[in-house]
Amino acid sequence: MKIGRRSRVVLGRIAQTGPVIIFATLIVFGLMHIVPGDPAVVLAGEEPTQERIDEIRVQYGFDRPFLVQYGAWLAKALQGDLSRSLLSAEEVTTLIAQNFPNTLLPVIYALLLSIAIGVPLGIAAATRSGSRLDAFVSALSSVGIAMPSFWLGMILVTWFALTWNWFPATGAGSLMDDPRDAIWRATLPALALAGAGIAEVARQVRSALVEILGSQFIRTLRAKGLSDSAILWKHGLKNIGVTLLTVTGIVFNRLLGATVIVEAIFAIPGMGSLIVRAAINKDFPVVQGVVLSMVIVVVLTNLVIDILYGLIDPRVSDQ
Amino acid sequence: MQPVLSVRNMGVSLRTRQGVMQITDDVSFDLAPGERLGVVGESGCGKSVTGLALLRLMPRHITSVTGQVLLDGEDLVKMPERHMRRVRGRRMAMIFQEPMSALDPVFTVGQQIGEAIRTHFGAGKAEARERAVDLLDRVGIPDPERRHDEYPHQLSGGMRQRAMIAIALACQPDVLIADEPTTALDVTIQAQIIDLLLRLSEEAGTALIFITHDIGVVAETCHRVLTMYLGQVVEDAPTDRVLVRPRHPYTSGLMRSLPKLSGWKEPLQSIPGRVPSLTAIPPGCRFAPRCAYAEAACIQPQAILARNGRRVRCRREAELHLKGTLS
Amino acid sequence: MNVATAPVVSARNLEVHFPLRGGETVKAVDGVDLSVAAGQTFGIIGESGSGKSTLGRALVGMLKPTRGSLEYDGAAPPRRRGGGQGRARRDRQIIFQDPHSAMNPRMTILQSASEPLIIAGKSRRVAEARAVAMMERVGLEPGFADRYPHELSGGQKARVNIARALTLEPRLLVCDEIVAALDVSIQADMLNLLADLQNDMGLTYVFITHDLGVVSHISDWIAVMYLGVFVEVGPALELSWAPRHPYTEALLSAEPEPYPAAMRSQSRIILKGEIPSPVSPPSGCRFRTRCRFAKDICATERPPLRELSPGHLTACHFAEELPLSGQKRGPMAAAEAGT
Repeated sequence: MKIGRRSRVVLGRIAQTGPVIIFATLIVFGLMHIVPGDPAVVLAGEEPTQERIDEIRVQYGFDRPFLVQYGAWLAKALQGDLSRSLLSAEEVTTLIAQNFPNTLLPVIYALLLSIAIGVPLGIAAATRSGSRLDAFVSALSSVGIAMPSFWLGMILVTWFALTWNWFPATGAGSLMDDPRDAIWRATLPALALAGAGIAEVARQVRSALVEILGSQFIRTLRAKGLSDSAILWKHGLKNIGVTLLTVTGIVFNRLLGATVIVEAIFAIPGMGSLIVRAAINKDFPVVQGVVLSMVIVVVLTNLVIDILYGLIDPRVSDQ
Repeated sequence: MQPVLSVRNMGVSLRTRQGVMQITDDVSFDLAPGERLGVVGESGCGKSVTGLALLRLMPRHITSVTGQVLLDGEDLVKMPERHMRRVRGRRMAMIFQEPMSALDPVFTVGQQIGEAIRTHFGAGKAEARERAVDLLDRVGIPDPERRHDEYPHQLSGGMRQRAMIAIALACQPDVLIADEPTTALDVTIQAQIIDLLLRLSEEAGTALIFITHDIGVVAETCHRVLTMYLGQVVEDAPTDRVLVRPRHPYTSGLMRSLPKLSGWKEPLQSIPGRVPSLTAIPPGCRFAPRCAYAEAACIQPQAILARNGRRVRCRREAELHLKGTLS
Repeated sequence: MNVATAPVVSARNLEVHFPLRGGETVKAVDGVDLSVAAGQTFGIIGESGSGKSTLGRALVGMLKPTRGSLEYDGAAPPRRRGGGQGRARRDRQIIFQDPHSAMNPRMTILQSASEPLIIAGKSRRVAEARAVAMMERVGLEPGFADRYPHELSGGQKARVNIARALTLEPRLLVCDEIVAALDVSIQADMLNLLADLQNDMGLTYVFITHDLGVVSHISDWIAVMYLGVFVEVGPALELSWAPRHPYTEALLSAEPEPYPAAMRSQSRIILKGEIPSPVSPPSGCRFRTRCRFAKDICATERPPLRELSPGHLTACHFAEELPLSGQKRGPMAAAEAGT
């Protein structure tokens, strides 16, 4: 019966994603129409005549009412057809398929760095609460959260790429063809993104762990004869599992947002640069396609995290 | 017979921002195998701290313990921490007041019992589970197989306390320290838990140190009673005798302030004044400022005097006629 | 109705139900009749889930009853604002258990104690003067006025709570477990203080507690509450000497007695099982799942509260026949036995 209830919750969440997707894409579509600029003009090429512009409008359906245009797009999208870029006539799905991995690699790389560095920092600070190490980690966290990733990116490029030549300054490698090269190239962008991620993870882990380690049940565990490390690693970590999951979700969402700027600095052909170019040129299908895929990624990630909550904390599934 | 636990002049001090605070001082007592000792006193008397200090559960970096705590002859105060871990839960165990907050919420009750067994006996998962289920049954939890896999929040207060007792007794310790184990429970559940503790301690021959503020509970369960005031032991006597004829004015004051049916609606006796703060401990006898029998000589610090199998920290104990709970 | 003889508070068939998600309800108070005469102390004793705290709050108007009626001095409480509702509300006050969280830690004692009167519309000067007078009355020196709650002990905070409630000069004071967190000798002081205040100010108390020793000592009448209903009501002494309900007997028996072994009752009744949930109380008699005398009829018919002797009521089908023993122990027993 417990499984049934959880499945129902999951299905409910999946059902909620529909409205979220529509809402997000509709708003973006609307914003694009408000912003000045006319794609028909761009498409008409050099020296466009008014007739040519009107012809293009009808051809592409720009003369139809706003909601009808949106509805048409949605209908096709539901069938898997995201149509073609107005500029390059490439299929939007192809564009997304090409660019998405270049975004995903630094983002996931940064997420792993955030956890791999943030968690030990947080644990170290929590177990030596009140010490100088603790104060240092707290200060570092504040700096990390406040520092903009593009600034960090530029610093990294200036020092590590241009001055010392340890890493390439631009571009992205292909994970399929040459994984080592791809990962190496993605290192600086990942570090730029991870600055804030490490800080956030360390801070949350520290405060959650301090609270847990001060709880009454820790005393019972010591009274049982458990060693301090068993208490920390077995009981402490499991109890902060929920916090850890939450902060992972938050950091992931933030990384996806920060990627736009970082891609610009490192000239990575990812989703960020794709959508920026398309938005400037009013390339509606591409913009809609990118927004749609990003929304799906975020919603799916949050869904997975919600499911994992139930697995980690027994009190959650009984609500 | 050799006492299983022998505490000699134990003192616990804490390092605080205001300096070093002496929480308990000159605490001594012996505990025979299978004996049940009650420790009573009001808030701030140091009874809980004494219990925690016996197992060295006070915060390590700010606590300092002097004196000796001899468990089967070995001094726990001087024991290295890694040996102390083998004592905790195995030869001496402790249960606490609030069962909900004393159990880890993200592990099942059975896992937590099994953990004690596996830590000290290195048992495998299957064996630990079997023994845990058996323990749950012995502490009176119905349907133990199912309850083994439940989490603390799924159990009632009384059952959680039983689970805590199961954890504590899993490795058959020689001594069990119970710090206010029934205070947070309903009175009918309290009766069940006390009955359980008595039965288990008799069956296994486990000595019990029962820390509580409830004199009635001590009267029903303990062979002997220790009364503490402001960090010191002021009286140590067999239960039945001290209830009828306490020899320390504080013990007498405590007993007389209990509401009793015989004095229906009559004003209750209480002890004048308040317990002083640990930063302003009176010189000499600590109870003197509130004592109806204090005389000039009580300005001197008072050592504990032994007579007729009882110990009292009062210079006038032989001449006073104090009333207990029967008056 | 003659105001002089009308009970200060009386309830008929009082119910307080809380709806839960999923359509169920917590039947915290499920049909209670109660009547407290002026100047008396009415004790309500029960364990968790009994509903005694909910009942206390309903009696002072903090919670609205889902069903049933409440009357004060023989009349229903005024419904409209201004119809004496303010005065009526001030007539009934409640103080709660935890002295540590009952006061705003950022307000001085004087500010906390004078707050009720200020809210009632009095000027600050008048409110503070009354608060200081009340604080002295409960045994706190004037120097306490400018201190903060964290500087006071548990007993002192409890006194401030009492003083604060009394500034409004209530006629009915509901005390919800106010001595539970206090040490034994402080508790004694507090109970003595409450008795003094009752004599001086003509207060009527409803005293809610789980501690039998306390309730038998200070009450004139005791009601034993279990899962939302009264199972026994009677004069305090009589109820303790000779209970007429198995639950009362079990409560009395469960209470540890601070007497030597020879003077304690030899057998103790240990109730089996746990207290059922107030969401789905057992059918018929609620106590039957833990009662050693339960018979078939107990599951099908709910026993009504009926009078066995003047003023002494019990809700048990077999009240007349059951061999129940009360607190015939300790010093009185010794006196009786002629030792």
